[in-house]
Amino acid sequence: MSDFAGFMIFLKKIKLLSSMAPAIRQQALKLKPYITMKDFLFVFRNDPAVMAGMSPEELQTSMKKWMDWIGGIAAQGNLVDRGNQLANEGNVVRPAKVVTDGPYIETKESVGGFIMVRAESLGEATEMAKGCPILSAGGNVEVRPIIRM
Amino acid sequence: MKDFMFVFRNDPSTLTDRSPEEMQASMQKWMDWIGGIAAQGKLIDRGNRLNPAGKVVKPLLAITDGPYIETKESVGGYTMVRAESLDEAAEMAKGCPILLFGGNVEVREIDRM
Repeated sequence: MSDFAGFMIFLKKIKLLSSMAPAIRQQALKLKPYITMKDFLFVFRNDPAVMAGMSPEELQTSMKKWMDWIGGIAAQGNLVDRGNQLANEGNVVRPAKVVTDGPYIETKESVGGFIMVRAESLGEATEMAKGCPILSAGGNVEVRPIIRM
Repeated sequence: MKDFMFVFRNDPSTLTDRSPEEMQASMQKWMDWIGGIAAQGKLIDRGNRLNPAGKVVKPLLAITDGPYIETKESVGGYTMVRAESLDEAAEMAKGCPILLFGGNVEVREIDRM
């Protein structure tokens, strides 16, 4: 079992970030130039409840899969921003300034985090998303071209 | 202080039938709102707009065209801000011009690693 949130929580638990972040940063220096390439946002959606029952072993397996996937993207010079995880709590502000508690829509498809990648086309970015470990835990990845302003 | 992400959702079709004057007025409102946040030193990342085109990759590598779920509530962009609390961030979001056009703003705290 693996998902993005589980990956992040595991990182916090074992404090591997200090060893992982520099590696990804170093690889990010090889980022391909923004000339013919385009940037894409990967939006990760999953059910936060999935991670609740994960054992330490499952979390470790999950972390390894995420590291391999994101590290592979970075190694190709295609990682623009390793993004962030979003906390489960949240608000939605709607017209007439109505504020509702909780993250958006179905909690089963809550936005859990995002990263930004560089690719030749939407098709190529979509191929990259196919390697995301969230897919083996019932989650999904939305792939959207960035409009540079 | 904590960091928060504003996720903007709206119906992309509401943007297509606007006159240049309406678009300019809308852009001015966005600039005023984001500029106000920046002036308070609370703008971390002005973020990006997202092209309405997109794909969703699902389990078993099924791929669907188009942005996620309801096009009426498509994610159109995002911004990152700094605030004392989720409540303060939500107050900041109340000034967002998207609310005048039927859109909404999801406010989520960033989990720094």
